[in-house]
Amino acid sequence: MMQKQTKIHKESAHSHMVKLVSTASLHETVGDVLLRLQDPKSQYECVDYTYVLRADGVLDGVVSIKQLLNSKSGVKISKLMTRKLMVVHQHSDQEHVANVALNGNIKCVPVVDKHHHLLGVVPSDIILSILKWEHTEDMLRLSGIHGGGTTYRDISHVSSFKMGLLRIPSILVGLVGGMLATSVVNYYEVSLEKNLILAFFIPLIVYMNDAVGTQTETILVRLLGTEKVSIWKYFLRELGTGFFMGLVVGFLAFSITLVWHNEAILAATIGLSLLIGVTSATVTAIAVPYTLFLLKKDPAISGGPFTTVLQDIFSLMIYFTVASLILH
Amino acid sequence: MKKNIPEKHGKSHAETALSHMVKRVSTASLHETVGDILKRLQNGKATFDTVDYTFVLHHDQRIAGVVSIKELLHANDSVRVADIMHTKVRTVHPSTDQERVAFIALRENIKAVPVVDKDHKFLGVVPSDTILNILEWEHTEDLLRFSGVRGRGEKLRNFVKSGVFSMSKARLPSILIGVLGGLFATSVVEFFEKSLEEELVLAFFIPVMLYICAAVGTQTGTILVRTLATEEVKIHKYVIRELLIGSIIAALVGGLMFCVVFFWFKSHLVALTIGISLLIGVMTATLIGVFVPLTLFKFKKDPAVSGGPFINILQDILTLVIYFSVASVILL
Repeated sequence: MMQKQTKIHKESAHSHMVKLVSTASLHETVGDVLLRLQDPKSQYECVDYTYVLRADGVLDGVVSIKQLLNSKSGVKISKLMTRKLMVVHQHSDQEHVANVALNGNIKCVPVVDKHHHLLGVVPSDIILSILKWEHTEDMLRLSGIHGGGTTYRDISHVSSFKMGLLRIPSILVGLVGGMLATSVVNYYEVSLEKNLILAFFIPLIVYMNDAVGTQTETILVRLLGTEKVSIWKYFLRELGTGFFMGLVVGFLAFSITLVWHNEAILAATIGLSLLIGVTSATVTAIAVPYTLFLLKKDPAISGGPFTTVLQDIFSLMIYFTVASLILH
Repeated sequence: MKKNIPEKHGKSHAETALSHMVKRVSTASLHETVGDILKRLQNGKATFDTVDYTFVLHHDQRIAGVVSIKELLHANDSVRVADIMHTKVRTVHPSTDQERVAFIALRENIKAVPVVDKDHKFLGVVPSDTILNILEWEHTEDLLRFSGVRGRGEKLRNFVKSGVFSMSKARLPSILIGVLGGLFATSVVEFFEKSLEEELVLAFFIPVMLYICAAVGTQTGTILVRTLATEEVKIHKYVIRELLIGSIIAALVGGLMFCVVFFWFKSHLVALTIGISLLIGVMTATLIGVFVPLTLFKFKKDPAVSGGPFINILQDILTLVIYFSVASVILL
């Protein structure tokens, strides 16, 4: 299980767990445990599972409330319990906690220290909320809105001013990148003067490559968030998909441009630039989030300004290079 | 609940409350005591799918209240269940969309959501582990739809694992619409050929202009789509906030670009063109980012569809028209 490690301090399993949990020792019976559960003095915060501890406090197994109720009161807990336990450590990221609950199909996730002593559990309502926060975070980060901690928990109640502050940084990064793109076009001023028609296609080229890149990036962020992935396998598949889509898009644009402007060389320039551009977009859209992932940052951060504007610059360079090779 | 979340179109029946519902749930009548219920729960003959909640029913099967297993265990056996139950119970119908079920569980902070028929008779519950899974599936779907990947249900959820050709097939339709939109954008620029011939410098700023407006539009759209899905909001208040933020960003970006271009190209007219175009463009992007998802929502379509390429290319075309119109007025 790959695990995001951006928020270890604030949003760990430890900060979400409740401590008053039903526990039992190995020699006890179902009746003993149910008696204790029914004692009004034992104010358990979570009764969904009873955790079975060895004499030295090490977590050994788990019994659900359903199992307890469905068993005869004389049955020994050690006979009933499930020993294959899904646990998280106190410093585990909250997203990891939610993934463990999802993959293990369990309602509550037990939290243990490094000696496997039970510290508490993250209850089901919190897990549900964590999942919601993490999803909001994914979506907003992908669109270049960078808050931390509790910002994402209640997006409709963030003030205008604060929301503005969260959105502006990525726009400013985009602005700097956009100026670089301006200077790329500026650099090819002479080609543009000779063939003004090249300028007409700038929006098409930039748009198409971004659209494909955004798809690639979204799929990757989702993969990194939920499952073990072989990045090379994904990379090769994405490269194949990018190339195939590039062929389709390039050929379509080539045909339409040819019919429209009646210039084979221009049509070839557009078609070839799109083929190379769309393929390269998949590479950029994997390289940037994956680099962030390796640096233990949230890969979703790459969405919004950075990857897109970087791809814009590449797209323009590819376009004008192809144009100068073919048209001159 | 005043606001109605539209049910997503194009969902199969497999994505409703009914398909996720379990029927063997603990129920009780109003006159019973906690002890009666616990005894029944412990009777090995009655196996329940879930024991998290016991639903207290009237004679005609309507829900009178609900009590959790924790509350049952903590109460004295002789207490009447009617005295400890919660009477405000949020229910869904068999045809309710699965995403709605999950968000009701979230908002109401309940583990299992009860399903009732049109006469309010109790049918069963959607249990907590299912709700967790639904939330995860719907998130995958929303993200993919937002990036212009087509598909629905199971197929879309497993999409991230599919091969080159099925992947291309799901992604190409929106991309091909993009090609047509992009070619239309080409003709917009062509329309302003005269302006470009006189001021070639205008061409240099096409990428940055498109980029900034699209970026602001995406931010606005994402926030709205997420808010519509998860929160109960007053739309008016929300729209005003978004427009306010859009104006602040528009003024900031426009002003900043005016300065940068002025010092770089030493032409106050070019700088003014860029600054004013960005100001208007970003404002337009905000309006589109707010009103397109809202319209889809009103017409009971999934607002996440608005994130797709269609809205982006529409924004690009508008940006170009704004840019060259402003340029014609100021420069020529």
